[in-house]
Order: sequence, then structure tokens, then C-alpha cells
Amino acid sequence: MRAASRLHVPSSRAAPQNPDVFFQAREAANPWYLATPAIVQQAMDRLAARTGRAYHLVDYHGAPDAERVLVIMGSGAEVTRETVDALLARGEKVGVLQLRLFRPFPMEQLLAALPATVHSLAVLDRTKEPGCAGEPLYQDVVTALAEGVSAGHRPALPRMIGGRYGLASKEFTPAMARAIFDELARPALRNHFTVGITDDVTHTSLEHDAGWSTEHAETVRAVFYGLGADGTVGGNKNSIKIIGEDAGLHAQGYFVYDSKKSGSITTSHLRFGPHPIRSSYLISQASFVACHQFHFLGEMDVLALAAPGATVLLNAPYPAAELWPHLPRPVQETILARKLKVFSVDAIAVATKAGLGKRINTVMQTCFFALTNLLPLPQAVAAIKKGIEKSYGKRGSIVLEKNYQAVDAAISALAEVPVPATVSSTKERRLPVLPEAPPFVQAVTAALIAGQGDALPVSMLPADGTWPTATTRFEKRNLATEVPEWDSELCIQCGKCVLVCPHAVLRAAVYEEAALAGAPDGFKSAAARWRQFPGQKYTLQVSAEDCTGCRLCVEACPVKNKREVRLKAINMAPHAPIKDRERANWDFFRTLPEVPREQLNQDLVKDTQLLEPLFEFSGACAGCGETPYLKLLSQLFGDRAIIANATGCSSIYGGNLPTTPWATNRAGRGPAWANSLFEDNAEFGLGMRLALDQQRTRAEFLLRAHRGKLDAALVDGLLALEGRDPAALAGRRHLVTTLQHALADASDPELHELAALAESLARQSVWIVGGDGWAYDIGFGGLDHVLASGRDVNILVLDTEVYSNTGGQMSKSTPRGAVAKFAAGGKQAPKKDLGLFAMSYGHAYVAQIALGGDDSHAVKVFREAEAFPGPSLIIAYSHCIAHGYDLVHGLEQQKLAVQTGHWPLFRYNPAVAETGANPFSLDCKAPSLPLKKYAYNETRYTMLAHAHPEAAEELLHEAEADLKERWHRYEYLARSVHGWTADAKEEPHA
Amino acid sequence: MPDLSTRYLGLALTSPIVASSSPLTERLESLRVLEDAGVGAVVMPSLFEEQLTLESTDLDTYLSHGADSHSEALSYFPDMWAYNLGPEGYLTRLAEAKRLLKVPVIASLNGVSVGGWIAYAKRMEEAGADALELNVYYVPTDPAQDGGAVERQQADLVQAVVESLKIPVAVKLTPFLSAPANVAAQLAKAGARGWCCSTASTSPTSTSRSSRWCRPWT
Repeated sequence: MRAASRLHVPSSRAAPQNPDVFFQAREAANPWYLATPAIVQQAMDRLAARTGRAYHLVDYHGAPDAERVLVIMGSGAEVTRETVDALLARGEKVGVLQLRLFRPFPMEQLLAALPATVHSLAVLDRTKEPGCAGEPLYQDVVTALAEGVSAGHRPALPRMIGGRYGLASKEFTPAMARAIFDELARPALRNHFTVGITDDVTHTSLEHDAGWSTEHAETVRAVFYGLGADGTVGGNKNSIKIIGEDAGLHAQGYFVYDSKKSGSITTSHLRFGPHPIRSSYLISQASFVACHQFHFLGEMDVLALAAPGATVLLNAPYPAAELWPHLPRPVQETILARKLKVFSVDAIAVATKAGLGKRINTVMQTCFFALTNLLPLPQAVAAIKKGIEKSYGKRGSIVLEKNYQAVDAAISALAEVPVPATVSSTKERRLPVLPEAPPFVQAVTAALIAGQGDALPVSMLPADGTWPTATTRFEKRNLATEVPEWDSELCIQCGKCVLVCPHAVLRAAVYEEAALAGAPDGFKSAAARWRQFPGQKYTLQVSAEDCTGCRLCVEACPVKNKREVRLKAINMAPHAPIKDRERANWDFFRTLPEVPREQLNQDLVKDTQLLEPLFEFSGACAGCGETPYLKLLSQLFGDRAIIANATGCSSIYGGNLPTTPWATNRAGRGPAWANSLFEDNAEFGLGMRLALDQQRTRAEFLLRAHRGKLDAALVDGLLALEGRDPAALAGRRHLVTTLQHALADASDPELHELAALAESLARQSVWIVGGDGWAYDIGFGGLDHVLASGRDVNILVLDTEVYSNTGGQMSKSTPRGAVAKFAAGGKQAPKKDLGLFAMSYGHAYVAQIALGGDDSHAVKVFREAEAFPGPSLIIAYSHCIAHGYDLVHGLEQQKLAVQTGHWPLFRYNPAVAETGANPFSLDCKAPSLPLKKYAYNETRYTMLAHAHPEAAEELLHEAEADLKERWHRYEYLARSVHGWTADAKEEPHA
Repeated sequence: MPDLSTRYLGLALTSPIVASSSPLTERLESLRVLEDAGVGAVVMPSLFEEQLTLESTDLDTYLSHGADSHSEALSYFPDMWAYNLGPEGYLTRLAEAKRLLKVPVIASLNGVSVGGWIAYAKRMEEAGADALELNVYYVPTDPAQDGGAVERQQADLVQAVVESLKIPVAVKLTPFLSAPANVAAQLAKAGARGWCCSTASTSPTSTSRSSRWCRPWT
């Protein structure tokens, strides 16, 4: 308002200031800082008047004559308050000082609120500043008290210590708060402590009694284990609303998600009770535990949090009376030991009958209410239906009816499970990782997978944040109920299924028949269809335990079974019956020899798919459209690739703990991967290139300087210009290895240095990878800078046309008419032409590809881009769940994207221009289908057509005009002879 | 200008040429062109109950897919205030056509359930349709069901719809009947005031991808 009211008085703000006035200008703002605390308090008072919730800049809670006090900010203060109440009840003189304003720091209020009787004080910071004298809040409190003593407001300083807690939302419980109060009672205090972890390196941690609880006995504590896909979290959010509004109880919910995007496990912690709930920590003693996926029982300790006598609800595919023998031994033992009451419902059957498929949330929610009696059941059912109407009403009456039907059928399907007196099962829980995993994976990764990461001591963690790669291969998540099965007789060995597999679970190999010795029964092979490998065998093998069941491989298969037309050369088959067989087959397949790279024609898809992928079994969504490109990158260049990865989906499935999909080959070589930030990734990768070039320059200097001490032919070979074809690269690798061996025992400091730099003499392939949110938007400035630099880096944009990782926000890549967050009315502007931007430099290789549109083109582009001795940009169409359709049709949609002109395939190769030819090549046919044939297969477009049909139609027409204009532009470029159009005489200004 | 007036389903038509259910009758502008060119009546494209159901369930499925699964993305689409998922779009266009045209406007319906046939038929009548054409398509997959039973089932359906409406009802006959005249007689007995022949040999309820995801009614 102030700005608006002053529009008639133009002014300049933030003008660059010189040293003469900058200092005074900064001090001129002091009165506003000094006035701020009082203004904030006035705002808090207004809130109190309207809501009854009274807050102050500093709130003290505890004994008026407290001797020991904790100072803390944020939600941890609620935990400390709960702890203080429990300790006061035991007669201890304790208190908590909660700060609600950090800057300007409320020194006066802090001094006034702290009881004069305090002799020991601990300040807690939820942060770590390495190398500091103390964390920020601690330093401020120490300063405030020191100034208070100096000014005579307090007679003396209390004993003061600072500590760290709860980094990255790690648990902070009353037991931990109590450990700090206990520490304050000791004669000698441990300063700069930590709490909530076990620090066995620098021994900063305070021990706490994890079993000590302050929770109210009347509070219902419920824990639910579900899959992201089954709607558990959504159902629980509705339950909280129902209980908070209809039952008049206090309600709280915490939802914990894992790092995977396929088969992600959710854990919901819900509290309900008659008293206000201040417990800002997860449940450790649950009175109700629900397991919404039966297979979890065999994979994780689902009952770990169940309190003695708790009620357990299982979604089980067996009748209650027959369930007991199907429970794993540890589960049976816990049920008996803790005297748990067990109920079951076949929620999948109920939901399927109602037409909801695997969406079991309303079934399980109804059973929860039936078992907990938080509301009379008829009232609960009515409230659940009301919630369903609120959540799904807009999606049509048929959706409501299906959910109502599931709710009504749930109660009658619920039954108590008879519990015998003894354990009968011999079934054990699955190990988190394979037994053959290396020691680090067994000790650390396995603990993370099992949900035991909180218990790992400091000494187990890599101090510099460097973790081993190739760890997904030990996980074996067994997500798929159906997996691909190969028809060896029908297969034409084209490699398309291997190429598109998002999780690299399909592998192909060509090998001598003798290698089949010792193959397990049922291991399939066929005569290899390669001219250069006469008489050899071919096998297409699936790692069934790593498959997500996405079916993209089946869709990609071009072969049809003439005897049974529904079948192809690869078909989905139930996993369970072939699990053991395929596990043995996979283990054997991994022992088969690899075809030497230089014997393959890497321009052919089928040949490239014999190369071992060094990106495997990631946590990406089933059917992901991004990961096949990364896998292809790893197959072609993985043994010498260095990857800078922008934050986004690819950094989550590519590098988030507990496991890493970037892998190593049998020689131990593989991509090195790092993620810096969202906004600086291009520069991050450029830095890698510059560092490698510096290292190489130094290595070449040292080679020349010490030529006399080394094999001269070796030195000359390494200093010669290197080739870029597979044979030349293999030769180069051999020379580098020879040099490394020669320098293994070098004592000369410079030769020792040369040994360390030897790797830089091999060709390193630097890749800068990210999504469209990075490349088109947040990292675009850096991307532009890197393109302009002319340096030899390769940029891969995994273009989903939306910010996928954060839930579908519009990017500048989002096409006109598509609905996205921040574009709920359909995006009004056209998609940015990133390729055209990049081409304008003239010295950058630029290409746009779509695997489903033309896979050979994609392979060719990757190879050309990598070989180009300057910056390369590949823009890769990536289908995504944020487009809103079954991704089994992802490749078909990619093809339609090309055919409708939405995604033209092209290459701009400056190397071609050097020959005098046109560097721009339009690599697809002119659009032959209307845009709606592509767009209206996707919810991102159809939801607008449902909600605002006229607007959708208008945007569709505008989008088609965009495509036509772009196509004409590209056609014009394709017609031109480098710098001049072919028809320049006719259309000089065309 | 010779007098070409005639009657169809009890309706007085200025011309015996009726624009049948097709893309030509989808848009109001083209309906006007047809009337100006002299058609005696127009039949709107069919409303498919199955399509409405599919659109609704598909929207629900894909708006929910991936939701509440990952801490950084609790959903993938923005929430819209409302979706035009029911027959309202069709009915609005029907009412608009009735308002704009002088010639009779005949609605067309393809249902799945008996309840659906009747409910949608009533709403079309309420929207102002002068008559209703039933686009009956049924795939008899029960080996125990003979041809006569299939024909009786269709006649029962026609009777149920006719009894629930005041406007006349016609039935679109499939070209694959053993005894079309006999079937026509049965349908007339059930209350149909007329019938028309379809040249289409493809399934109107095809579940091929292109028709499943065809454009929603606007």
C-alpha cells in the first residue's frame, strides 16, 4: 500500500553505494530493528485476543524457582515442556525457556523471563556450524546473560552449555530432553554436546533412556504401514479430520515417507485423545498397528512399535481363521509375547469388488474406526462417507459409489484372527540386503533399509559424505507381481526391450556356447543373430527381483506371436511361480563374459544393448521415462563418465540413500556422480571439466619432464592426439593402465604426482544432467554460461515438461494448454524452445530426442554429442506420472508427440558445418496427426477439458498454432545451406 | 419447391432427410448449416454411459496416482473447482440445439445398465429432446444365451425406456441380425415408434485406446 501510495513520487532504492555513506545508511535503519520486538508482540497479542492462543517473544514454563532450565526454539520446545511437566511431577526444579523471536534477539525479555534461581542452563540449537565457538542460539544466550550480569540485571552467570539436537528433523523426545536436564545436575558439565545420536568419534553425545515416556495413558496411539499407491496417507488424513471434528478429540498426525518413488512405503503416526497433544515426535508405543500390505510382514518389523496388548489390523489375502500359519515366525513370536489382539480383512478383495483396485484406504479406514471405537460406528461410517464426498465428489458420482460400496462391505469382511498358544511358523523375515553384499553394505546400508538408520553411530558414517556406488543390486525389492518372460524362439534380438527398461532389469548377452556349462535348469538361450558373432549364443535375462512390473518392455517389443496374437517375444508372467528359477538364472547370467566394446557397432540399438548398464535398479517410478536415457548414457560412456546432477527426480532416484543405482563394471570402473544444488549444476559440471583439463595439462607436463625416466614410446603415445572411437579409447585406456603400473612404486615426488594424475590422460566424459525445471528455469543462466564457454561438456535434459520431483509445478518447458501447479487454468504461454536458444551460439551441438519416437536417432545423438569436442545439449522427451496416464503407454505417447509435431526430432551439429554442409537436420517427418490425438490421452490436458471446455479448446488451437510456427521455423533451418537459405534468391527476407 | 413434408416417429418433418447421429451433428454451428440446407430433423451424436463412467474413473485414477507417496510431492496436479464429468455438457448442448433450431432435435443414447438407460433418457427428455434414438449395442458372451433371449432382452429394455418417457423412441438396428424384420416387429411391439439402420460395423463401445480417450463432450 505504501508503495502504491507513493507511485506519484518516483524514487530509487538499493542504488549502489560507495564507502562514504554505506556505513551510515546501515545504521540509519536501527530504529526499525529496535521497534520490531514490540511490534511482533503486539501482533501476538492481537492473535491471542482473537483465538485465545497467547504467545510471547519469550515464554517460560516450569518451576518458578527452577534450578535447571533448557532454552530452545521451535517444536522441540513442546517436547521439552512435556518433559518439564513430567519432571515437575517428580519434584524436580526445572523449566524451559522458549524463544519465539530470533532476530532481533529479545535480550530484555529473555533476562526477564529466566528465573533468578537458575544455576545451570542448556541452550539447544537445531543446527551445526562446523568450527564455530558455539551454535547461534547458544552464543546469543551467552551474550545476553553476560551483558545482563555486566549491567547488573543478574548477580552472576549460571553454568551454561550448548548442544545440538534434531538435525534434518531427527527425533527429539522427552527422554532426550530429560537426558539434558540430568546433565545439568552433574557437577561437571559437558559443553557442545549432542543428543539423540551415538557419537563414538568425538564423544559429544549424551546418553538417554529410550524407554522413558511421558505420553498420556488416555491418548490413542496408532501406527499405519502402507504403500504410497494404496492411499493409506490420504485415508489417515481424513481420519484425523473426522476425529478432530466429529469426535471432539485432540488429533495429530505425522507421515513418514521413504526415498523411493516406486513401491514407496509410508508410515503414519496418529494420536487422538482428550488432552492437548504436544508430542512432536513419532510414536514408540502404539496401541493400534495397521499393516496395509501383507508382504511387509515378511520384510520389516511391522510390530516393533506395538505396545503390549495393542490391537493389530492386517490386510491379508487369507480368511482370518486360516491366517496364523501364513505369518512369519518373528511376527507370531511378537503377537504371543506382547499378547496382541489381531484382526484381519482382505481389503484388496473388498476394494477390487467395489471397482477400486488396489486403493484400499477407505476399507482400512472403516476397519480402524470399527476397532478403536473412537466414534459410534454408524456415526463413523457417515463421517467417512462425508469425507469421501469431500475428497472425491468432484470426480463423478461413479467414483463416490465405488468408495461407498467399499466402506459398506468393509465391516462384514473384518474378523478377529484366532491366536494359538504357540509359534508354528518357520518362515523368517527377508534380509534387507543379499548375504554376499560387501561389509559396508551389510553394516550400514542394510540398517538404513531396515529403518534402523537412527541407531547407527557416528563412526559408521563416511566423514566426507562419499558413499559407495552400485548398492541397489543388493537390495532385491521384489515389487512386481508380474515380470517379463522371454520367448527365445520368437525373439528377433532387436534389443528394444532392454533399451526402454527403466530399471535395467532386462539384460542381453552374446557369448560362446561353452559359457553355458553349469547353467541352471531353465536357463534360456538362442542362436545369436550377429554376423560378427557366428555360432555364438544369445540370452535375454530378467532380474525379476528388481523389476517393478511396468510392462514397457512388452510394449516396446515389435514381434507378434502368430500362433497367439496376444503374445509377443516378451510377455508378463506371474512372478511367484518363477521367482526361484529366475533368481538362479540371473545369478548365472551375471557370470557370462561381456562382448568387447570394440567388437560392437555402437550405432545400432541392438549392439548397444549388449553393453553392461552402469545405472541399475533405481528407485524411480515404475515406467519412468527419464531413466532409460541415463541407462543408455551409462552403457555407452559409463566406464569413463563423470556426472554433475541437478537436484530433482534424477538426484533422488540417482543418489538418495539408502542405495545408489550408479554402478561399476567388472573392472571396478563406473560413473562418478555428484549432486550440488538445483541452481548451479551446469557450473558444477563445468568446474569438473576445467579441473580435469588442468589435471591433464599438468600430467602432460610431467610426462614431458620425465620422459627420460619412462618408456619413451609410452610417453609419446600418451601425448599423441587421442581418437574417439571405441578401439582408440580402449587403446588409450591400455596406455594409461601401463603408465599406472610403471609408476606404482615411484618414489620421485613428481612421478608420484603423475601417478595420481594418470587417470586424466584417459578421455573423461563429463555429463551435466538435470530436468527441465533446472535447464529451462532455475539453472538456465548457468546452462547458458556453460554453452557459451565452448568447453567439452555434455548436457542431458530429462524433459518431463514439469517440475516432477516436487509435484508437478509448471516450468518454462510446460506446453501451452497443459495443466500444472501454478497453471491450473492450463498454461497460457508456449513452451520455451531451449534447442533454438542453444543453436544460436553456433558452436554447440544440440539435439532433441524421444526414445519412443526414434530409438536409433536417440542412440546416434548420444554418440555424436559425446564425440563433439565442445558443449553438447541433448533434450530428451521423458514421459512422467505428472502427465496423468498409465505409463505402460509412455512409448506410444512419445511416438504421438513426434507425429503431432509436439516433439520434433532434430540435430544441430557444428562439426557438419565445418564441412560446408547444413549443420541442422530435421530428423522426423512433418506432423501428420492433430495435436489432440496426443494431448487428450493425458490428464494434464483432459482435466482442463473437463473443467473448462471452452478454454481448453482455445488453448489447444493456440498450441497447434505454436507447433506449426515452430515446425516452419525448423523446416526453414533444414533447408538452409550453412548461413544462407537454399531459396535465398526467391525469399531474401523469408 | 415441391412439398417434401413427411412424418417420422409421429413428428412432422419438412423434409424426409434426417441428419443422422454423426460428427456432423456434434456442433451447434453445423446443426444450423444442416437446417439451412433443408434437413427435416437432426439426431445428436450418442451419449455413451460407459464413456462417462470411464472418464470419471480415469480422472480419479490419474489424479490420485503417485499422491501421498513421497515427501517432496504429495500430489501431481492442482485441484480444480469442478469437472464436467456427467452428461451435463451433452444435455446443455441438446437444450441449446433445441433453442436454436426449428426442426425436431432427436437425442441418441448408448447405455450400459437398465438404470442408466432410463435415467439418462429421462434427462434428455427434460432437456427438450423431441425424440430419443436408442443406440443399442450388446455383446452376448454367455454361451447359454441364445439369439431369441438376446432379442427379448433388447425388447424389454426398449419397453422399459418407452414406459418411462413421453417422447417417441426409435431404435438403431445393428446390420448383423439374422431376421431384422422380425426384430423390428418385436421392438415395435415393445413400444418403439420407429427404427433406423446403422451402417457402422465397428463397436461403439470399443475399448481401443483411441476411443477410450476420445475427447470429452463439450
